Amino acid sequence: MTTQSIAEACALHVFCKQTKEYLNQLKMGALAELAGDEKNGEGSRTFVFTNEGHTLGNALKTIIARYPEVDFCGYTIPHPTEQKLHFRIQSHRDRAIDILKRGLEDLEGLCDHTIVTFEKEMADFNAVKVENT
Amino acid sequence: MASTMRKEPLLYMEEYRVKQDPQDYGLADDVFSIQAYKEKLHIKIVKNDEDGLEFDLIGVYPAIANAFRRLMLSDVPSMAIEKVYIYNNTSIIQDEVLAHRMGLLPLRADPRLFAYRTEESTEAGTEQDTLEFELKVKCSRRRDAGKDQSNFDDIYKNHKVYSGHLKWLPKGKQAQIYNESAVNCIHDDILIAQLRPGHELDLRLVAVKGLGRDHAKFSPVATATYRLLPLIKLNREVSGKDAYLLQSCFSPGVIGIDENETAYVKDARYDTCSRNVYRYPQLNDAVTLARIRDHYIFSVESVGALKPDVIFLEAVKVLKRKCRAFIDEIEAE
Repeated sequence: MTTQSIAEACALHVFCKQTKEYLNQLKMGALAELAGDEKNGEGSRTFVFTNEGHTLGNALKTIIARYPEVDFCGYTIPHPTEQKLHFRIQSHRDRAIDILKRGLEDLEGLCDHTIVTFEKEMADFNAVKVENT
Repeated sequence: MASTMRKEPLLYMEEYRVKQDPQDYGLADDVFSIQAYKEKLHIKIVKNDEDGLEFDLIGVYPAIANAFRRLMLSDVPSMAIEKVYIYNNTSIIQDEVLAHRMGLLPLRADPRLFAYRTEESTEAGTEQDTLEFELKVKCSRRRDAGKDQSNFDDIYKNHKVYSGHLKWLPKGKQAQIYNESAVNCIHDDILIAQLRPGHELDLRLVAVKGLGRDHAKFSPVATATYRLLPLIKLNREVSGKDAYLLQSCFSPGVIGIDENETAYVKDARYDTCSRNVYRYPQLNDAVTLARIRDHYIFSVESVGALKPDVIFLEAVKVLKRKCRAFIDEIEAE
């Protein structure tokens, strides 16, 4: 076994330690990747989100599962007392990491649009309220 | 109104089951695109007053609506008392119970103006991440009280400790930035403990910024819930005695009765969606009960530090920030 494969076989591959510490400071999660998909190509991956739960998992899943090129997308929280979220993506076409990134970008765009719409409606509502009083 | 222009996806509530509309495949094989979301999303503010905020979120997936609700409950920060230094407690309430009660007091301080405490923070904290209060109360007998008096208020002084007794101790330059009414307890009439002559409380309280997922005391909302908009249709004319029976099957104000003693649906919005009507054979076929699958009625009640509309916006921003952080992490790799 080469050092390379030992490193790959490590259960958790942390992308970037610095970012992780930064995120912990902000009370946010960090991202890693679960081993075991080396032979399955780039389309299948299980990502591990630490400090995240159903809030992000389910919202992200509903979006990614609705991409036509995604064969399977699901998530699980392996143990309720561990702040870990396993997020699985399988695709025959694209890289799983790109799909994950696209999902996150879409979710971000969705948030942006919700904020804009809500602020506009709130301003309209307050304007009407002022008019009536 | 937006809801009348589109075909509403319905969920039928029959006597023994919930049935999906046979024509409705929306949840199953809808392809997600941000453009489609933008076209579908409608928000309508219904009410925003002291009792809370009520608004309609129309055209979203259940997971998105639920994410917003969960975020409001447990991912929007607020300030709460986290540490209680007990210098003296001779009251009958135990130290740990008292400390827990102090933790649950809602504070008015705006959490957006404070930082989280970090691992490196000192025990005392800094003016950016900590608020300090003290509670010093001593109960005594009133000298002027007569022997025949039985009301505790007349006999004892300070025998009831309220949240209003809390005194803010500004740290550093805090006194120049905030005034006491901007950081202290929202309600000054919360009963903390009852004392008797000789009993004394001497506490120092340290409030920090935290998240609802750590402890419910950090949750900025009293309640944040959603439900689906009910839809009630009358399939045939119901009049006379049956009309009044039908009216009694639903929440007040849902079914109206016109001058011909005929029932009509006045406003289904506030119906509790009980299926009481199916108990009566003569009304069984008269109504169709349904809910609109993607029309969420949110109600948000704030504890008081932030306005409910601000809490919702903060919640969405938290989700956005989570996404951004992970995107950055992927890009950094």
